[in-house]
Amino acid sequence: MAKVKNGGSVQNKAIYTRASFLHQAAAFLSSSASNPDAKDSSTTTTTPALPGMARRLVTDLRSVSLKTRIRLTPAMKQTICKYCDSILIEGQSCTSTIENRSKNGRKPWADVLVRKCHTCQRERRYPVDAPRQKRKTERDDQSKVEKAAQAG
Amino acid sequence: MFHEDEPVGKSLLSKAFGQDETNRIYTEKVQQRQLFLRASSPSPGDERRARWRTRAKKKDLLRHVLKPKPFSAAERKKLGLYDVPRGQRKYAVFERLNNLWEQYMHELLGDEIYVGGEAAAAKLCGADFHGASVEVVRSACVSRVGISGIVIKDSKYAFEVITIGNQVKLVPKEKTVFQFDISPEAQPDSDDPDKSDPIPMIVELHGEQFQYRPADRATKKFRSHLSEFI
Repeated sequence: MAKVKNGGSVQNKAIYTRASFLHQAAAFLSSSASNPDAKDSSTTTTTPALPGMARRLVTDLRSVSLKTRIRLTPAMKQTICKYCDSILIEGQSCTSTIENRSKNGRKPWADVLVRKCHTCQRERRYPVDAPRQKRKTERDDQSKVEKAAQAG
Repeated sequence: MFHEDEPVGKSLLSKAFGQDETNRIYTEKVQQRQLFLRASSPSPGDERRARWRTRAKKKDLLRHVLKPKPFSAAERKKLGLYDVPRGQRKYAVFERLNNLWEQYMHELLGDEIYVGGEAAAAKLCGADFHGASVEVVRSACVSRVGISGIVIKDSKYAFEVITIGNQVKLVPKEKTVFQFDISPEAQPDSDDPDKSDPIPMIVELHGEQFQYRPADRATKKFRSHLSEFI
């Protein structure tokens, strides 16, 4: 069992490296942070943001993860716009607001984080306090166990 | 004149024809006559189905508005999501992307950077080439030889590279050999001059056999072939 697991991780290492490189490069290209290398020259002090190029890399990243069936980490996934593949940087390419649609905001667990992409103007909503639902495979396992307990 | 129980048609026919002929014509032309219904008149069931269909369509449309789908490739192209404006194509920016790419290569190859071989080649085949600094060393098209720059787009049939002079060139992979070198990480701590300035690993990439989309290469197994044009 352990052998199989070890083999799997070694096999996938290249893909994980590729994914992390693509994300890093996309984040670098879409940010307009100051460039330490070009400080000497007076012409460029900041790297111009290249969101188009970054989007190309992110699309590549997404297709690689789909092709190889590798999950992106939720943190990585949440920095990418689902609809237009832009890198989401708070205040620069997206805005986040907390929304509570319950009556008079009575239910604190109904808080929803709404992140709006500035490129495509589309929103994604993440529940804040609500407990996260388990993965489907885990849910299925649990229901199987319960069924077995009922039967036995 | 007319009998009460005899149909009008039959009595009219009996005036012109004999008994047998009247019976024959009446059964064939009147009693067994086919009645065609108008095709345009819908049955109530059809109407109900049509109403249901329009309602479902409306509902589907609403759901689409509430939960949009990611942009399709055509929409992306139309919106120009991947466009890099001419003014922003600066080699200096991509030089830093190249640094990132070299770090990625070091992480990917590890110690194989010194030895190369089959395993390194397999890893490189599944790697990403956005940000690689490449040079065309052989090509069926003579004028392409010598183009060097950083890859900014890796499509199925071509590399798009940016040269030092901020020029973007589209180099088809077909019948072209690219070369790039990966220098091992410099170790400034070591006293040995050989180690502080190590020999780079030089890789030749046969574009002819590399005509796949970058994402497809991640799972593809490459076999060694003989390039016909060389």
